Amino acid sequence: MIDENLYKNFTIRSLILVFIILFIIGFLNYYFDPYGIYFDQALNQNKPLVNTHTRIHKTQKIYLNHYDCIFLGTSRVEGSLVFEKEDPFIKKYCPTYYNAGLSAANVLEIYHMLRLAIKYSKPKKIFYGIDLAQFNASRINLNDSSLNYFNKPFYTRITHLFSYDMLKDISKTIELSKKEQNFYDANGSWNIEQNYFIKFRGIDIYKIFLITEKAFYENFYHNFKFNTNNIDTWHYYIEIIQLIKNHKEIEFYLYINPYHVRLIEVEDLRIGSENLDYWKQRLVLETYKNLQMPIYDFSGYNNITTEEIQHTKEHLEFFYDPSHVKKIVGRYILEYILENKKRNDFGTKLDIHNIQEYLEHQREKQKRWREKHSKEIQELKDFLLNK
Amino acid sequence: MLFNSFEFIFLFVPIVFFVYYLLVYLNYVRLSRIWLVISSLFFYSYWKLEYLPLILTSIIVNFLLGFLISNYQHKKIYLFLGIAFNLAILGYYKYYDFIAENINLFLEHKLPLLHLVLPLGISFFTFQQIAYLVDSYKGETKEYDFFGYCLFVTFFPQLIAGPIVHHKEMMPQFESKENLKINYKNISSGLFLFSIGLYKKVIIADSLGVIADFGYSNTQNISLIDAWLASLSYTLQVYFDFSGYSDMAVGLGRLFNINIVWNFDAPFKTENIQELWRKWHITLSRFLRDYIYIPLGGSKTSPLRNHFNLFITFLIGGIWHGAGWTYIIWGAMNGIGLIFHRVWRELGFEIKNKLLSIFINFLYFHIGAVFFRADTVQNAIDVLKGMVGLNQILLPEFLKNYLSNSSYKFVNLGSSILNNIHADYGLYLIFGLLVAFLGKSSKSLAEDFRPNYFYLLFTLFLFISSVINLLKVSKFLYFNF
Repeated sequence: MIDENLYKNFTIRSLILVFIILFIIGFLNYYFDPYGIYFDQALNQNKPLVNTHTRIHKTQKIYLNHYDCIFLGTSRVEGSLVFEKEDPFIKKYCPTYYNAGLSAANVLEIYHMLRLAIKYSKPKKIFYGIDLAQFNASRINLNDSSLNYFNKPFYTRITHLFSYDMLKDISKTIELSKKEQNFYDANGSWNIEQNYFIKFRGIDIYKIFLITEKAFYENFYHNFKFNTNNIDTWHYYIEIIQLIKNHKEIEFYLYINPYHVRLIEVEDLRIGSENLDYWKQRLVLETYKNLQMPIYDFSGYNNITTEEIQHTKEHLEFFYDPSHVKKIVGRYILEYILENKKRNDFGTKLDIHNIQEYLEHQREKQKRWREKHSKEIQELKDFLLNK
Repeated sequence: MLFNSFEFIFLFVPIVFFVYYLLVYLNYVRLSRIWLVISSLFFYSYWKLEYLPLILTSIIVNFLLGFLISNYQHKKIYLFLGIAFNLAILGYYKYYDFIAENINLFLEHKLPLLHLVLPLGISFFTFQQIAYLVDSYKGETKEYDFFGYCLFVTFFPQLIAGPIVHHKEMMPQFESKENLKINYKNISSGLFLFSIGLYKKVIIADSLGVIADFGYSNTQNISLIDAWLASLSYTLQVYFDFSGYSDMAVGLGRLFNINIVWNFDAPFKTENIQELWRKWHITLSRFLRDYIYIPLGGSKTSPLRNHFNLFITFLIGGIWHGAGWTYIIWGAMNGIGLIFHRVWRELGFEIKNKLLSIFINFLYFHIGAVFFRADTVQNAIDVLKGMVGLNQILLPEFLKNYLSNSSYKFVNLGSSILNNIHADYGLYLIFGLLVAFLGKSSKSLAEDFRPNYFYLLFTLFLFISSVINLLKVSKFLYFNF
């Protein structure tokens, strides 16, 4: 017969030890904060692993801080809406701002980020950079546990104290922080000049374009569908529109991100030009119907997106790769939206009255561009189709 | 609420536990039971509040019918009404769409589909209450008050995924004054068992689920190795997932001095399918035996009729698990397996080699599990074809240097699971196999449990390693049944 006291001691000791061990784990995760979620000015300033944990990092920033302006979208927004600390242009319109763009974000995530931003950050202006790839329903997982970051920010904050993955990443953070700088600045934009080209330094720009285009062909545009059995991406876009409609105190600006016209060739192969036109038409229709608001289109054929590329190791003027424009282009975007300052034919305000004419005009421009670049297009197609 | 969530482990259980014993200490015994009922209903409705009225209606109707059966004439009519009521609820929520789809397909009707979300644990609490009504009819239940009955149905450790318990097993325990005292032996072994279950679920089952989900997500032309990796991972996943849940249920019950019956007892170490089903989902097997097989005549009939009864019983077992042809085939396979085993035994055949028996037994169950997991019958056939090498034979890339040129006539490289899934998951598969075939069952571990430093460290290891991996929260597979 075992003494009842032994069981009592066992119970009490196990509870105390569980408490102590979890406290130590929680303290280490809190103190080293590898994903930058507990401190704004963290003890360990350099946190390269934020790069691979942007969703949790950025949702916590939005949850905890008030910003005058918030930028929503994908990495195209993260990489283009980048401003110096005391830039008078951005200070004038957005004294405080946060770039909440998320790499490869889909429309479901953007909807949740928008909800989070409206609820906690209470911004005065929101800019949403829209992309076609955000609408690929076959890339969306409704059960993705990272959706908890958007919907349960406090829960995320507490439970991550006891995360084994975070604990493992402490040592990685200490090791990497000696070699690498933060990928993001304090406003959530890319520290791109310092980081992005480290891995591409000395590589032919033409090759960078081909690699990125192949990624779009094989990944972002693969199996492209606006809806599957479980999800309809238009439903979430309309939810976004409804949120905007219900928050008249916030100024909203919707725009289609610029990307290099070579990617339109990839879209043509994978999705079909009719779907691209349908997407733009419906975007404009849904937006105008509910908000009587235009969408600014910076994609398509214009003086920026048709920048010539060659076999060179020199950087291009406007593009890092066919998907990402440089910060100078980001500034052009905001200048047009906020000050109506247009650079040549870069950007068009679209509404239900001009969309049809605009699309026809784009087709003519496309025809002319294709005639001039037939060899380049053939090379691209051969590369994509592994010929 | 999930057992494997922070809010359950660090908020729900401690609060329910302390308030329960505080009420008992203050001599509010009746209130302490009501507290358990309210907590259990909160636990149930935490996920979806709209199904709370459903379970409450089910409880009230069954309690009233049980009362009528026990106290009035026309017992048969009330029993019939009760069973019909329970089956109607189950049929509406679980089987309507399946039946409508098949009517539409075969009879070219256009019945509308409802796409209802299955209420959590509906199959469990429905069967439990059917058993209660039948027991009442047989005069095997005593009079208990409404809250006592509510507690019997809703007691949170066994509400959502069983075990399916009998009224006579639970009610005396809830009524016992002895069970109102804090019992550290039960609490410490309860913590130990909960930790075992949590580890089985979070560390083993969820890791294996990664391989299984990857493999079953694209079964067309699945290669030999991938088919085996995916199917084995799933068979072990469902075992560790469900037996882990059952261990946690037993452990949680012990915190309140309630002994919940074991639902698993090392089923993969068994040598034949009959024995396996006595050790796999024990309380369902017991229910099917007592309330379907025996009323059909059981073994006291002609051999042919007996085999038919067995088949029907397992077919119903299959349908109970889900509305789909894959579950029906799975149930039928188990029924056929059991009939084959009976005939084999009756003819006096025997496999002398124990290891061979265990292997064949597992293999048969495993093939059935392919249907159990696959989304469609075609997917299951694809995986089975892959398992026998009728699709392509792809080997992992790392074998490139070891293959001669002539071998490429028969095999190729590029196993998609091995190329895409981290090698750690493969280790979980090996670990899972070792635990399932060589490890002690949780029941044996609980019997061996002593309050010493070894078990203290063991419990801490299981609990802490599971808790710090909880963020990969996933549902229990049996919640869907």
